[in-house]
Amino acid sequence: MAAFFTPAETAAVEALAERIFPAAPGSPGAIELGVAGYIDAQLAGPWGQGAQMYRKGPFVQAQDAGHGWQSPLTPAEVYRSCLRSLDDAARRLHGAPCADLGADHLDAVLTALAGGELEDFREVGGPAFFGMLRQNVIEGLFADPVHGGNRDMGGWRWIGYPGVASAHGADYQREVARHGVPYAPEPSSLR
Amino acid sequence: MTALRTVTSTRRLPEVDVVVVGMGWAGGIIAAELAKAGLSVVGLERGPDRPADGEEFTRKHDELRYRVRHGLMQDVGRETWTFRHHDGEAATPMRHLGAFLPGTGVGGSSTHYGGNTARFAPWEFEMRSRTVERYGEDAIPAGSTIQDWGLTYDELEPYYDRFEWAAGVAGRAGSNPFEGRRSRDFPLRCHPDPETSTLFGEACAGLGHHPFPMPLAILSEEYTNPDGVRRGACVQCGDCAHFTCAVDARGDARVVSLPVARRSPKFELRADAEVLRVLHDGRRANGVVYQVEDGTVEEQPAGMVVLAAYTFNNVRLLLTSGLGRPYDAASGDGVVGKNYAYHVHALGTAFFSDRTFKKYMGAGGGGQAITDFAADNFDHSDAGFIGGAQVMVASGGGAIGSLAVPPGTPSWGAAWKDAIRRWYDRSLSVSALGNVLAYRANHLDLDPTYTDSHGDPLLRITFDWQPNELAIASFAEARIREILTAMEPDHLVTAADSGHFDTVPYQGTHNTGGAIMGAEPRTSVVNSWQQMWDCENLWVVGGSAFPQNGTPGPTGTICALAYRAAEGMQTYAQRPGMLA
Repeated sequence: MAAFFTPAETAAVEALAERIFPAAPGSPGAIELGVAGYIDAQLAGPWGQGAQMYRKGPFVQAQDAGHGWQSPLTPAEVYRSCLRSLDDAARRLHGAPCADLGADHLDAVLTALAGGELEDFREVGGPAFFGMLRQNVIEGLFADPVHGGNRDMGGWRWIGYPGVASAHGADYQREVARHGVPYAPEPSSLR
Repeated sequence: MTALRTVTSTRRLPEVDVVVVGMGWAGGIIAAELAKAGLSVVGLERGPDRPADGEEFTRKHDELRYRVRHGLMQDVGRETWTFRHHDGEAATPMRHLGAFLPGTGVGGSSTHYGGNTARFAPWEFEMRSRTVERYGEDAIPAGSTIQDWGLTYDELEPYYDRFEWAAGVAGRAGSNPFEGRRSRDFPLRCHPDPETSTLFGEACAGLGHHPFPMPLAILSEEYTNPDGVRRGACVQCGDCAHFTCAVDARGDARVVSLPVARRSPKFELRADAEVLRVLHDGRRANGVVYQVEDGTVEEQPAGMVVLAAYTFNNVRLLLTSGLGRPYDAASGDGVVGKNYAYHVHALGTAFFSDRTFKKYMGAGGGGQAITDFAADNFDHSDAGFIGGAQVMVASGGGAIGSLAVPPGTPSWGAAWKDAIRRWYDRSLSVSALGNVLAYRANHLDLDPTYTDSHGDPLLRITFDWQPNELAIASFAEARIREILTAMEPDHLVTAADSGHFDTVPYQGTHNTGGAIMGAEPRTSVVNSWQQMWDCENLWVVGGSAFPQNGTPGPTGTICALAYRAAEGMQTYAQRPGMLA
């Protein structure tokens, strides 16, 4: 269900997210777990639209580190702008937009992005956009499935997290004191 | 600085005995104690009142909504803080929440803490005089403005005790040999020890340290407190910090104090009511003006006004209301905004290929700790700093924020994917919480440029690490490394605060100072009863009163001071005048 992304943006985010958390034989990757749809919904929602973000000016890029994000862009605006820059870079370096690149070329684009080697990411900066993308991918893999990602709790199954205790009626009072005894219930979501 | 706008109210309400600004731990305790004493009390809270049954039980622990998107925290879209490292740097607004997370809504930050309520050591209250006494005046770090509290541990002890029995603190008296005198034991036995904590404790004991179970205001069994408030036991679900408690086992203002206040017909709580100014004539406070959701501004006259908001908001309200003498960092004159402090941190994580810790279970910020390297619990003659750090096992929880991997692991791709599966439940973290002293250079004032959604100036934070704090962090990191090494892990990584303060990563919501207490008006805003020197019927209660920050966390001390302040207010109600 599209909410914010254009089809091309969805394709780019799917390709990038899959390189961050790739499928392997017997284990799902970011595409199968619904990560791009999760990010799309987040960008269309309050967070993506700048809720809980101080947006009054003046906007000044601090001279010293430690001042944090000073761009007026909302997360949704950051994605729109930075995905365009990233596709431009992909075309320049490898002759095609992200969605059409093979794994090796996509990995090279992501490495360059994270390493600050790509230009034209407005005041956001390539490494900051990579950090945001990576964080959102992690959310899409491991947030409760009610938010649209982590399909069939596949992210949780991968690491062995059972979900919120109260969702599966667990009482850990006894379990916490049983040292060395694994605990592996079927995970439960908030649905 | 442009002149502050004039706030006018459209409706003046009937006068009450006491108006309390902020319904967190401190405000809740004061509301309860004064309502019990028969005074008429209005509690104002700018955030929402979240009824216990207002949200599906299970949804309260949604990691994305609460830990990642800060569902219980101050909305910095409406009001944030500006930050600079020193007076010569341009301040910029903190546009997203980061280093610290003050709560909003009824219960305040008490609705999302880890339940840690340890007492400060006696030394913390007399840091300056005891340091000078043992090591000489030269041991006080350059530029430091630390001062004694004007109150000793022994004077505060009865109020720590009252708080612990009201909130239901689980702990074991005598388990920490460095703790001050206790008048009686904790009301509740300790929680079961998670495996991570047992390992930490054994490693510490093997090194000759003195591990003890951290006191937690989380019920280890069903409990009825001296006010008759009955609550059930913790289920060890692991989701404390960032979340409301799904079973009300964690003690907070909502479940411990406000039920008591609400028994009185003379108590009224108004949520979504943001106080904009304290009304006063320069010598006495007359009440407050506050804005409700629809924009209406109302005036609540009161015989006593209590500021019990978060540290920053207490200081900001004093400054926007023109109360007290603003601190001038250049001259060192004035007091409001002086001695802003925080905590300094170190962290280590060890990885064990043959263990699974089930680390998403446990009671909040529980587990074992040591204070062998805190306060003046060891000889500092050659330490190169004063103060120190509590070192403790960290609790894990959730999935999004708990994906530690060994050093050298790629941060994305197939190797990272395999590593998070391998190590998710096989790591153990130990953290250190160290003193931040007060310095002439670290302070709070009103920002000259940036404003909140009402057009009032934001609070400006001027703060950076000083050599004493960085030395504590680096010392604590070395101790953490020794402890983790003793556990014989497969991999190990440690880090400590260094360089300059960074507003982005979360570090801790232990901001203190700015309306500090002390023995005399020249060097403090409030006396040891939290009564303002310059305005005898105004009380400023909370972490804002700490002259410098002790270790470990501030909650227990804030609550003890609130009980003591409430007693002072009852005295004042009978016999007005300065209590000290």
